[in-house]
Amino acid sequence: MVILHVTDQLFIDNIAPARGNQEGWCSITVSYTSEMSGEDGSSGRSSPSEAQEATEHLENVTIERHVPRINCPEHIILVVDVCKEEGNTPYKLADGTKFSALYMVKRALTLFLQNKHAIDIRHKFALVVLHESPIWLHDFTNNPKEIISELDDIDDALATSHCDLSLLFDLIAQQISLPSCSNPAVAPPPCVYRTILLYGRSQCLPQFLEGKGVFTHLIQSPHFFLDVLYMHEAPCDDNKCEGIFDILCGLDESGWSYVLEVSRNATKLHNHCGSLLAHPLQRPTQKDLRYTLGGGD
Amino acid sequence: MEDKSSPERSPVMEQFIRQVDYIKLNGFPGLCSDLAEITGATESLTVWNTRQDNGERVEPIREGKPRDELLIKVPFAGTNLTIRLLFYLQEPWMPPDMSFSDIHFLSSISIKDLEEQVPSLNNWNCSEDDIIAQLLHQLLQLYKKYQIEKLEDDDVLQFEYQSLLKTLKIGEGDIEISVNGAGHRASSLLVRLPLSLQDVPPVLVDANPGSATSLLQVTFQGNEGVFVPKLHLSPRVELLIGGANTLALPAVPPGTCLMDYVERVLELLEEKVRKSVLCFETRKQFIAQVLCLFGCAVIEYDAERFNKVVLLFDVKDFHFLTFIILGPLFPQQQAPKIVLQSLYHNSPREPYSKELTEQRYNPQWTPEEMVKNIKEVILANVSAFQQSSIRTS
Repeated sequence: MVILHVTDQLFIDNIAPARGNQEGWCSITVSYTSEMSGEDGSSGRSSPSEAQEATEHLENVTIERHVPRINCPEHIILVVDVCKEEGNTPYKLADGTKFSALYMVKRALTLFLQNKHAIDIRHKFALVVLHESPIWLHDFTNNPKEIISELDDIDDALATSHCDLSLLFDLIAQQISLPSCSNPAVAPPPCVYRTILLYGRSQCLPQFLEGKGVFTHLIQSPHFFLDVLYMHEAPCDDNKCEGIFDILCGLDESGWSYVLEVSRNATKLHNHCGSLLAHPLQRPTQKDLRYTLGGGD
Repeated sequence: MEDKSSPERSPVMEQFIRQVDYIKLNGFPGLCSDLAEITGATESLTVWNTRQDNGERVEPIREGKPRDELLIKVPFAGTNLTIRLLFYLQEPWMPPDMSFSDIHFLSSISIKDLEEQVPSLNNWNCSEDDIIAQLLHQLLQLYKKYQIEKLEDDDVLQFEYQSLLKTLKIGEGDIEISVNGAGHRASSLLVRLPLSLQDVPPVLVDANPGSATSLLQVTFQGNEGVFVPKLHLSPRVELLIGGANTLALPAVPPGTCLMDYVERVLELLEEKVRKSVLCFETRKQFIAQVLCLFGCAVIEYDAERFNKVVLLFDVKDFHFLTFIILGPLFPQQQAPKIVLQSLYHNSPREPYSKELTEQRYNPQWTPEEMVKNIKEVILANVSAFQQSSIRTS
């Protein structure tokens, strides 16, 4: 049984419409910044139903920014899940051509990298591949061609039975050095770190098998951000897409993450990569996104 | 500069090097100290023989073999004064011998002048890091005094000098004047203009730390009061208003009063500063208006200089990026630059993009009107952009 400590910093993001997919299913998440009891043990796991329980007792609160809205350089860690599950379906375009899920991810990320570089050449990118254990494939560079070249060489691999997020955040924590500002509410940081987790499995629930200590430490920093792009099969009884999505939504502890999902819709995948271009210190919260440019606005 | 007789530097040499470094680090004396140079030191004896104009050779001040000399070139009033200091490092307690490029100055110095005006010579503390710097400062002050005394022989220049002090409300430390007699090099002066950057938003100048100095150099030609002006701006000022050589100084028709001219130049610079600040404020207001209308679609914007904002738009399920870029001539002479960029197609190595060049623009529009116009321009061009991005990929 997981005990949630309710503190002043408890946020709830009632994000149902924004995090719904085309079929309209949605999720309510609880974000919490307190220490969880037994976080170094197996009770570091949370389940969507337990999370749901707590939400019934709490109300919406305003999410506040705690860092100046400066467009400092971003150091973006792209975490690409290369596991290919049995029954994995391809993307099918309007003209009937088919592309594997990994191919589509590579294409979308290529455009993401090129566009992000065009916005500000100071932004840097690193590449992590998620399989049995995460591998730091390329260190931070502001040359998108280096990452694109690495991406081109990635192949998908047989899906593993588990996905340990503890290992991923341990690796990230080792590789980065969070800025320390004496007054983060006022002083612009030299850079911010953003992890974009591109998770592609529909059968395997990602879990913190070795506790959330490192993750919690990272996420508490006002200069660390986590976004998730979940690419999955069409949800059905035979897969765990909904449960996985709930878990991924649960990673948003600050209320400032973007957690996006798509199911084999190439346009929507690219649109989401467009949303992920937004600078975490300047972008609106996910629920406030409004891109429509109409004549009547 | 190393002592060749031993592989390691002696303490005396180390101290000497520290003293030279002190000057380089803390600055040379004079208004145009950025352009000062210090070179040294040769180990061979080179007696600087200067020949006076009548051909007579000037005897060296001291015999012997100096181990180290320093040549310090100090810009002064638009010319250069070179000071040569000869150090006797075997006798570090002795002050250096001195000679100057201006030989008349040398011959005008009395023992009394040195005692009163250059006290570091009598109290030569070779263990102080700043002793050479102090000496240079005192020597330059003495040189300045020498030039001011020469002004007494030139009524017109004397009048100009006093007028500048009075009208610009500056101190004697803000003007350098080099007076030359008939037949010699022209007289010139260098005045530090009281141009203040106090009200300038720090972000516009912070990339260049250092002083914000504006210097006007004036070289006189002949006796008719004709002069040639030249502007020197420190990097911090140039960052704000452009390079000194890009600013067109007003012409100097014959009969131009120096005082009036200097005031005009100051007004010109002040106007440039005002314009730069105004442009910055206008950019800020424009970006604020964009965020007001499209804050829910913002991807990123320049939150320091307000030069750029990037947005993500969706028109009939077609998503695209919009870059709005404000150039240095915005708003008066340049419309905002609008570039649409694809999220879906490369062309071939970069995302497909298109600049929208045909747009109405009126620099008198309010920021609100400008942003409204941009929205209309985008809506009018999206469809064509969509079609060509598909075709080109």
